[in-house]
Amino acid sequence: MSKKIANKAAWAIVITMLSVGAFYPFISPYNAADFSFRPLMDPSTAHLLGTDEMGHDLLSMLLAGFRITLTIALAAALISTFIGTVLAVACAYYKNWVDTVIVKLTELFIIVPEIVVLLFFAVLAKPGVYNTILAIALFSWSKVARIIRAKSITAIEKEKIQYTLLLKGSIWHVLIKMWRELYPAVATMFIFQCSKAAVYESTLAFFGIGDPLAITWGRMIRTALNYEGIFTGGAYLWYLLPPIACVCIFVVALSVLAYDFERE
Amino acid sequence: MKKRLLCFIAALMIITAALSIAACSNNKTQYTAGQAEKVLRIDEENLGYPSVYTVSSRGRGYLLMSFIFDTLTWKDENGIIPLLAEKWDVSSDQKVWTFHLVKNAKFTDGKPLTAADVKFSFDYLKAHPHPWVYLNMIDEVKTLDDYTVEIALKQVYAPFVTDVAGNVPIMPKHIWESVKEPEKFNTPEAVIGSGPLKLAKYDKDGGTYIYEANKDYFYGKPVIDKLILSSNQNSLQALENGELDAALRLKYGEAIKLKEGGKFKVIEGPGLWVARVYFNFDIPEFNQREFRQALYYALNRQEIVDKATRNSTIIGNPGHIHPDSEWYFKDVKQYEFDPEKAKQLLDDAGMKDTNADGIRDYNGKALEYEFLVTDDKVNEAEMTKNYLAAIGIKINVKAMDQTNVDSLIKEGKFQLALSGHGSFGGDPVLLARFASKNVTVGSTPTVTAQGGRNWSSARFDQLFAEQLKQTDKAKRYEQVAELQKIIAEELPTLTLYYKKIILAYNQNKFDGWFFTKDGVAIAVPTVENKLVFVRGHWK
Amino acid sequence: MNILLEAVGLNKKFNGNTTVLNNVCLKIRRGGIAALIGESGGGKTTLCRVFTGLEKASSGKVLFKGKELGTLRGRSFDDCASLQYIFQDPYAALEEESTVSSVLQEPVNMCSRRGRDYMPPQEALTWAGLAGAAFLGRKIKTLSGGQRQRVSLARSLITRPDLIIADECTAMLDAQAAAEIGRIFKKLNQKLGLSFLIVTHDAQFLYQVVDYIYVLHEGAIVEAGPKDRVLNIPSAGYTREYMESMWEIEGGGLIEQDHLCQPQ
Repeated sequence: MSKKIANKAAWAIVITMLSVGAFYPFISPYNAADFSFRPLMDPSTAHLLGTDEMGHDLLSMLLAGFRITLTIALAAALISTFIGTVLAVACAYYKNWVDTVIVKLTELFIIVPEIVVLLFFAVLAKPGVYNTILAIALFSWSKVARIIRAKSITAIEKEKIQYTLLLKGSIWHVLIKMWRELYPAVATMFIFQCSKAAVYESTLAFFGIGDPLAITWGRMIRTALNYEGIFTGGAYLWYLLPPIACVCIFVVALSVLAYDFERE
Repeated sequence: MKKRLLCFIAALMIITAALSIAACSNNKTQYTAGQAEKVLRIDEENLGYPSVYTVSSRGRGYLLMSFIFDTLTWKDENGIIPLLAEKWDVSSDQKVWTFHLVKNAKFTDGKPLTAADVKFSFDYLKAHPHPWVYLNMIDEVKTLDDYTVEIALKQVYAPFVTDVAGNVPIMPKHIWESVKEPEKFNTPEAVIGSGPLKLAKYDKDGGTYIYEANKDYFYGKPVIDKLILSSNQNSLQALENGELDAALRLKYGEAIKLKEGGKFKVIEGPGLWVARVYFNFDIPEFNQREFRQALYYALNRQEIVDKATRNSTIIGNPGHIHPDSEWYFKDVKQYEFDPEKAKQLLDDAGMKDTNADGIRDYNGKALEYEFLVTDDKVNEAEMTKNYLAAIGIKINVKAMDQTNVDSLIKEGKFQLALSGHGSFGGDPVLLARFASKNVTVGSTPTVTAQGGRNWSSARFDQLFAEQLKQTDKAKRYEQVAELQKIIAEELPTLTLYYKKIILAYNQNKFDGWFFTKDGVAIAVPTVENKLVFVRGHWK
Repeated sequence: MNILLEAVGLNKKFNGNTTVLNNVCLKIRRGGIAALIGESGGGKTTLCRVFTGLEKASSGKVLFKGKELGTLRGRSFDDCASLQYIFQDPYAALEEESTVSSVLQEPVNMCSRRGRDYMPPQEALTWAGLAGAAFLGRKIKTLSGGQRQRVSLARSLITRPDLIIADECTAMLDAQAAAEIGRIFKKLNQKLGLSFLIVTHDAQFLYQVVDYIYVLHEGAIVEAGPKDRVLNIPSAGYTREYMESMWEIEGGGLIEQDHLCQPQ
């Protein structure tokens, strides 16, 4: 019973957050990129969360953060989960050398430190939100592939899926047929990738990949921590805490959902 | 299940925080000063093995090396002073310099430092080019006797005493003569010098340096026994906790707070450090002077200083030279913040928005550029982006760490860049960074150079070469003023601001800090002049 | 004689040493209903899987309509469609959450994509004894075991096969449902000329449906012949033993039931 409530609450949180992301321009008090206000103001009716060191309205930044942070998280998770799942199913479907090659590739991406992948990417990429998404996807798919591959290899031995093989179904037919078997694992992986991407996004901007000016929760946390007066006085309450709370709530809500999928 | 979920949540929160603080290395080694041992602890970054060729080519790398290796002359708070050379003469044509060495200087392996070592060092550095040392003007180095060296120049070089004699590290001949690849020379022998400190330990991974006093230092016995430089992540905290005795790597705001607190003494001096916008002249429109001028008009430098750097800097001067310098010339073209004027200049240069997308176009190409900045200058980047958007130029900001930005600029792999560097003070030879490759005299450390096509002006080149030969200071000033006028008019770079440097320290333990006039060697801005460790007073 | 499927010297070893099939040679006549009998673990399922291509023989070959069949990947769609396989477990072979119509749609799609003539699902269901359009909308999970197995059969009929291999397809059904399946097989054999190879332990089936019997013992065919001869005058010692054990099990069951009915 309580589990059901937790699940419903998690859905409610995620949906609310997504709609804030979609509609924030209508509720945001100011343009988030505007830094013409007096810096480091305490909260007031004009600026409910005060302003930052540069003079941005913090509430507007927090709201704008919903869109970019969530877009990056969802898109990166979608791409990495899709690539990982397709490769995993290819392992089960083609077996033999295809399986060997993909497994080796997966291991390579898991062994090679993410920083190497990132630096490689940073040299080639132009900065921007798209590249943040691609970069996160690039080093995330391997973990998805590894988990889903194990599930696919069991699933493909099931008789209902073997029927499709006997009719010479393509890998897509098999993937669709297997979907019901893979879905809980895929959903779980998707949600884990989402929460990971939400946390990673801010780090990437400082590797020359993302747009360092994109207004995200990660950037807010970073600038707040860079402000030397953050813990003297109450500035952390309205400067640092709100974005951290948003990231945590998002991640926790997603993990509640992921847990339910895993159990299904 | 609940427990697992809770653990997971806790872990996520920790990860979130940890990532934001960006790889916080917590190797705060506690060094407790023994009763007898006078240990001075300062913050520093990891700058490589402090031998001549293995240390970082940035200014602070030179500084760490200078603790070990002496030079003929040196500088203190009032300017040039004798060091290994107790006195020197110059011929009337300013081309032959004779240095008389002190007789009591010794390397830390016990061998005396003689004229042969001086000659050897000059010859060795000429044979093995070094990013900090430029010796093209030298014709010949001769030893007249064990303690006299004669250096003959091909042509007059005005900044010789400071930028050559005060810069060439004197290395022991008996060690270095067998070294073929100095870039790989990182044995204990590579750090044998004659300076006030000797290296006791260098932790390559942690970036910690432990120096011990050279008790036989000819200039005087150091007042400290040990100097520990460690790369603390949070200098403020370390200073407050008593893990450091002096902290350099503080934010300006932090230092002001410390000063107000009264527990620590804070001194502030010219940083000899400049932040500037680099143009890649391989991009056609960047070669148009009006374009560069428009950009400078469009930037509200005062607002950048106030907001982005929060007053830890002073506003940049179009003529590039620091206003505190004796070579500074005031009456150059000024660029007050004026976006309308900027737009006018772009219009006149034929860069108009032809397709109404809000971005100006030039030869059918939109004025849209990648703006490379160091990761500590995101605020500056955000403001620049807005200023330029207001005049119809779009920039996409790419932030990377200093090392990567340095190398991208050096290789010319950038469009517009915002970076900064030291080596900015002292002799106007620093303007060599705007002289073209045709000028064979004068040089500035390679870390300040940019790759790809550079700005060039024949008149600038000629004047620059002339002033280096000018020994009459008043006449030279006029020529240097002229160079500043050209820079202000042409803007080969946009000088944004100069950093102030600050040192916060525990005055109850050690004092005697001073700011070196024009910086040590070729203008390394610092309070850590090695003479502080000899002249300072331990309490 | 018109030979539909022929096994020539099939050998199959697992892990290099365990012999599962030992030089199996057999010929299946077009238009007949052949049975494959023998003890569990005797290689019957392996032989079926080799015929369908799900398993690869260690040596020997399979001829279908006179030409050699390779592995599943090497077979043409027409070969796959002409040689249909019905799985033993009707609960595993069909997706619980699907409807009957979507199950039957899969082979329809496959055939139409490859330009093969197919039997409309409605007609296939009628042949399988599941008349009524309403049946198409039913969910698989609402069906009984017998109904599911008949849906499986209908699914096989859609590709208009020449041969259906059924691996103990009645083992999990009650006697009534099994008999019904037997009657349908017989009818399909007579009306459509469809050939069958049936693996079974069911004596009823052997007597009433089958016309030819192969006996597989320890991976080798020990006896083959028309039903009447094999059942009445088995030549191989193993066949006799097997027939006796088959009757004993049924008889034993009855005795036990009697025993239970006796008053204490």
